[in-house]
Amino acid sequence: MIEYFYPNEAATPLLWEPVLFAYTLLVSGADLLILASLGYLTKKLEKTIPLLLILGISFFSVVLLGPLADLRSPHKAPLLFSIPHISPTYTTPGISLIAFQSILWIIALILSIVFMLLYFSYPMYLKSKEVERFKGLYLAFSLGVDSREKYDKLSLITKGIAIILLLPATLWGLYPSTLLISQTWSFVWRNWVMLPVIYFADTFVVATAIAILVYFIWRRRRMEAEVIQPLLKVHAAGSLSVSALTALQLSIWWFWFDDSIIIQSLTTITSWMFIVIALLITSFVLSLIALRFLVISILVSLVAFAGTIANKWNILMNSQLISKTGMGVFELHLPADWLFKTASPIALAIFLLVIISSLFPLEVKEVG
Amino acid sequence: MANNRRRVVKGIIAAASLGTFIYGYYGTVDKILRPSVTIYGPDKIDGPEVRYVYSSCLGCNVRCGIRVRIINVNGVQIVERIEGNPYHVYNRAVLPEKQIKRYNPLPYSFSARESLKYTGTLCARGQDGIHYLYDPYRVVKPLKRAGPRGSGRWKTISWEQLIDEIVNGGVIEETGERLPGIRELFTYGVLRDARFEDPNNILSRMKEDVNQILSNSSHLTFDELRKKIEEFKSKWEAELNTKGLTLSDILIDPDRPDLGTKANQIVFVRGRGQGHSDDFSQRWVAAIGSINWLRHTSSCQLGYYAGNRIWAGYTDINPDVRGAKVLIMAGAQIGRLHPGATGQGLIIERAAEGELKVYYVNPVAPRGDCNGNFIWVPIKPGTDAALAMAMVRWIIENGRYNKIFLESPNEESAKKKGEIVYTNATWLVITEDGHPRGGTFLRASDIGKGEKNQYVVVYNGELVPYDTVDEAELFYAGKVKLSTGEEVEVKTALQILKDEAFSRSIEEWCEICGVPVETVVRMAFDFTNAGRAASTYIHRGVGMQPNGEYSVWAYRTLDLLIGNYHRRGGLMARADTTNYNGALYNTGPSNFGEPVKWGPPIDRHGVAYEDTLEYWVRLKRDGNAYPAKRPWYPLTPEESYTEIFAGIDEGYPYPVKALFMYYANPVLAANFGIKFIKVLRDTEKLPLFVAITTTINETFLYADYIIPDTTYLETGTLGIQYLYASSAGVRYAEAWRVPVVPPMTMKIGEDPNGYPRYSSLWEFLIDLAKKLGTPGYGERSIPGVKETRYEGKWFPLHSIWDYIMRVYANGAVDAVKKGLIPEQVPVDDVKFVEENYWIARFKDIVPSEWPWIAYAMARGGVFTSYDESYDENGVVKRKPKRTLLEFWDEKLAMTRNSVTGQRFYGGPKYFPPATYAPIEAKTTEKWLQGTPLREIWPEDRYPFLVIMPGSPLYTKHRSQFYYWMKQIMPRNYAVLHPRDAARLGVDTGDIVKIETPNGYVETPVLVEPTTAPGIITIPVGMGRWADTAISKPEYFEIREKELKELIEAIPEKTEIPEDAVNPLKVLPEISKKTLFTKSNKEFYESSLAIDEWRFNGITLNVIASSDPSLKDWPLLSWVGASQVYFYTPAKVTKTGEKEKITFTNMIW
Repeated sequence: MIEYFYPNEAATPLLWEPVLFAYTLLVSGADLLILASLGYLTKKLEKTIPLLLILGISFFSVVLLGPLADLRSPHKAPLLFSIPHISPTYTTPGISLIAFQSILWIIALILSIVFMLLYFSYPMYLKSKEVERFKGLYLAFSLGVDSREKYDKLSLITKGIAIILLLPATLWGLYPSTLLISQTWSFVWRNWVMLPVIYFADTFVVATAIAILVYFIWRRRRMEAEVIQPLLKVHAAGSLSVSALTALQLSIWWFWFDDSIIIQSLTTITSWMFIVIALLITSFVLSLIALRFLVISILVSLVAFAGTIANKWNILMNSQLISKTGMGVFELHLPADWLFKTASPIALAIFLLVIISSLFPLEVKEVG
Repeated sequence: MANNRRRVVKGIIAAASLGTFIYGYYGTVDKILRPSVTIYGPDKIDGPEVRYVYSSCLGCNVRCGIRVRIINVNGVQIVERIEGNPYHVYNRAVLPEKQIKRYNPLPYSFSARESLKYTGTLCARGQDGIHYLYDPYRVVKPLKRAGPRGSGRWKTISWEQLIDEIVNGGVIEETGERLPGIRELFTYGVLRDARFEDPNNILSRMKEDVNQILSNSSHLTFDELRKKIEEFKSKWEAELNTKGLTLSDILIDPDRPDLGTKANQIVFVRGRGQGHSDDFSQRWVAAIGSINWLRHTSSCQLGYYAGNRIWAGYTDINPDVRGAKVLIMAGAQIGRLHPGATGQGLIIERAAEGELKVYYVNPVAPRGDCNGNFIWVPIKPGTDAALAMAMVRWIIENGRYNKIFLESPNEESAKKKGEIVYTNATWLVITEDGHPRGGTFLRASDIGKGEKNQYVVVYNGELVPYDTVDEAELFYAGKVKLSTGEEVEVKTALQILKDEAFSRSIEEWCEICGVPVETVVRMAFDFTNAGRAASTYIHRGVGMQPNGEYSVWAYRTLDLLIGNYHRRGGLMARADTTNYNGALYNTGPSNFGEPVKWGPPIDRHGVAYEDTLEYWVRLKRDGNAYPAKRPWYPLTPEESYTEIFAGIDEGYPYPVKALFMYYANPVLAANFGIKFIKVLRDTEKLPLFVAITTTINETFLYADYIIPDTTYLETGTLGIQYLYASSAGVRYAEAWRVPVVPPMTMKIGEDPNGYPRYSSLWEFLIDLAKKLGTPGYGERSIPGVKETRYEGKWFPLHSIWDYIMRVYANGAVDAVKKGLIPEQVPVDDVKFVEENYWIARFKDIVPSEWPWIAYAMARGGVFTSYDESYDENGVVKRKPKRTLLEFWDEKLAMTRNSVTGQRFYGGPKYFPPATYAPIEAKTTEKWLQGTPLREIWPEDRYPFLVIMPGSPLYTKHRSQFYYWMKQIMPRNYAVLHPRDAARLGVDTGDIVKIETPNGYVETPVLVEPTTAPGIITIPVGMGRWADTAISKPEYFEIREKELKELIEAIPEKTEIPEDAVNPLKVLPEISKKTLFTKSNKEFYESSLAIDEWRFNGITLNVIASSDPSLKDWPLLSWVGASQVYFYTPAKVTKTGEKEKITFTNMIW
């Protein structure tokens, strides 16, 4: 039965709980997939592709758990797929952005899994030869690719999928900020004009920070420059972009609101923006140092996390504390179990990471 | 080994993450598996069970159009959705695929059935009107009190008993009190029952004699005057004695025959007024012969009305917001003032697109800046005239006024220039200090150059009669020798304004109003830089002040200076209307054989004290008639709550015997209205109190009888609703309100045609009138109009249908005559109405006019388009109500303060807010008659001013049944500027005590710079304690002992028979759940369960300003008797308690 959306449901508190904050971090999964695709297509990040793919799928596959937890009636969520409003009708114009993105999520997830299976096919065959246990399983994952020639032929299809994957993954990378700007009436979001680009750049910062962190934990002192350096370069570019764009946004607000009462209301947000800029600049500098001293890369990752968490919290939580008029500032009241609720989708992503990385190697020695 | 260790670590990480996920996500999974919502299918939007009705909204008083979707479920008609009417000029049409860009209303000729493909915009309140209809607290059966007044105990009585007891008197069985009937007050009936053949002959002759005495009073000595009165008494005692009556049976006071007949002791007061419920109740009051048909206007917009009437001869004037390029929007809240939250969307759209600049002069910020085109100008309350004077000074200094327009001294000369109005800017006023003619215009006869009705102007240095030249000097001051030989000072009216504006520097004016000089200059420049497409847009914040009328006028001089009246983008009086009371049937409030009446109304509005016998007797006897017991308000156009109740309390000018009150709640709606409880509780001063209402509110808690009324979605306030100024700038704009569903109140029978009758205002007044035998009710009641096909015919009035169908017929027939409705109506339009409208079943009452009626009903009224409403010169085709616009008003200058006996100032001027009369003889300014409020309550004791603005959500105290809006803003609070909050050490959520001279309220605070420093803003609309159910108020305390005791005496709960309330019982379960998703089932299923939302929040009114110079009755404006809502001095202290202000509270 189709259900009705009551007017009063629309009027429920607009406070998006921190679980959505986790969501915006998990969206970085899309950027990991973008990096993996680009790496595969350009052969620039070759050594990191398995890491990026596994991380990307782990994070991206749980991304919708954030908004699902935020819904008042999560049992209605399947309606997004069963009756998606993705083309305008006479009586219901416009489209549902969230339905559109949900369908893209399915497409992107399928594509990324296929991408992963194709990418790992020959390595799985090789692994099946090395191991005694689970031989059959690895053979199954090899998809019958038992020679380098077959694998090379398959790479055409793999490239095609990587190219197609770029579109939904990119749209997902942009989605949260688009949602905030266009689908809500938050004064801050509506006026945060740089939000889409900041968000997009920031997801790369998160994606590379995660990849660096996982790689560091995995390889520790045995890190290879070939793997870590490309990640650090992307990370440095991302950190610098986010800090520069945040500074630009600050200037825009100063220009717009000058000494109006609104700039007073934005004090908390602007203070946090300074912190974000400082942390990401630090991360940028550390990235440059880490290119030479690889062991520093853990610091790069940790500082970047601090910066990006501050940035996302500022964007998502602090912004909601400003009233619609742009003139009122509220206190944040969080539910008692907010930390667990926030951590739960991330926890599932980590769980998936462990499982997938047990099946597929984070490093592949012989690939096309 | 290393691999094993790695596996163990991975296993631990996997287990920990899975555990965290399950723990953190359990709640969501649980909600998915066990959803706590009811599954419900989509609304039906077409099919045989669905119908659509166009009508008019009553969420506020703006009268937007609505289209209502009704569904039939097992014979029960259920309203499911209210949306905007795409034909209506306020709502405008929205196409599903084009919802963002600006749009026009549908062309009036557009097919009704096709119109369903469109919708119109409608504010939150309008859409939430469903909850007004489906309110569990509604009373559906007549009630009589079953205990002392205000005890909250009620019992059900039959309709017949109700009518009989109100006419003939009754007894409160539980207390033994006798309630008087109104039969003996119906003097026409008393004369008729005494077998006077023509009661009106007696009454009209008596009235003539009274007028004779009054007109001769000035020439008589005290003894002669007494003798005249005695002669009058003897003559009429003799005539009345012939049929066994005495003069006391007819007059309130034979020694004061000017007070009128005893019928005046029946007072009818309505709160919310609407087109034909007003005409109908006015007709009833006329039928019983009372002068006292009174309204709530003092709490509505009386200061603004009275101010406008002085300078323009008409009350309701505001700008054409569609054509304006610059607006000075002062004290006119976005979302509140006409054209309301819906119609004001156009202002916001135009400003956002850069077509309009709005200076929002208000202590409270607007809710957006529209790309920089909405400029907030915070101002100190009560100082608007200072701001206006600063602008006037700048405009005159810089020569940026419309000289050519202003120089025309008369209508003819203006016409030659293509103007439709002219001003008295050039007329000479005698300004000689202390001269008896001071304040009056110099007449040609005064200087031997013409007649008494000719004003004098200066032309080429010569004094000439105003109608002999085409232009005259704007600025002149000099001495003139009168024919009497006296030499007096004279000035042109504009010179007087200039002198007032130049009496202070711009900097000094700005110091008073708190607006920076550069802002004022920018405002004045922009205002005078838009041609005539600039206008002031003002309302309550300006008018509801002690000095309200002067401030309104001061702003309006800006409009006069640029000459924008009735021009595109300029100021406009209301739109023209169809002849809905006299095109075929006389459905108006007079000329149906009603009794002759005279005398002042109980609130003394529209009557000068100097025109009463009281004045002349005192003057002749004592040599001084001042002070009067209470003020008189000869220049106010409408009525005053304060003076109605003060009049009843003090029996001044006469005692009241019966009060009928309809759709009102003065106890809560008036500033310090709580004082009215004293009157309402007193059965000596008010022997009979009858309430006609949907619920029993804070005022009606003290009634003797409750008559259940219908809402606007049933038969309540039906008829033709004119739109207020400026009616979207079009020529004709009338919304028609029709019943959407059958009434939910008790069915009381059928009329002779077999048409159903339900308990309501309409049927109650009809049955009372029939029981009394008044003219105008029953078989021969509604006369046909002369020179129409119904001339000489009479039509019956047995039910609302007899009346209202003829009202619609009038409007439709006149619209045909005006070419608005086609002679040949498309058959499908008529079919559309007959298929969809419940009222179509009464079409046989007006069979000849039905197709035209149906045409208008199918569109929700009669509307013209914007473009066809203007001529080629940009002049609106509406008829101006008066062609003379004034800079100086002689009548005002000759009017006296009833307490001091001093004359009022006759022009726009800044006065500090003050009492009506002086306290301890303190006055600070020559023309100021009272004591400035800040002298009585200085800033060091009361550093704040509290104001109570409306908002796009809540505009009235009755708004508490809007449950969908309640979910957006469940309660209100005090908004405080961050600077003040920091000084007081309070944060959002802290509960503070706001103390005023009359008591205190406690409320949480919202800290936002949306309110100016020094101002506390409390959004209006909450703080209720009685709405059939009672929730005893705890958020305030009154200082005055007697009132405090009255509040303490409010009962803890109400006692009403179960079957007399809650009409929701007939609705299907799912409908009730959908309506009240947030409430406990007990609220809508059982009767009178307390719902927290209904009674939360606060109102400042309970402790708002009173006037210590007038026995502490609620403070009023001096000239218009308007309630003062925006000037309550206060101090604030922190209580140490906190209340969470959540995100749902942030919209107001």
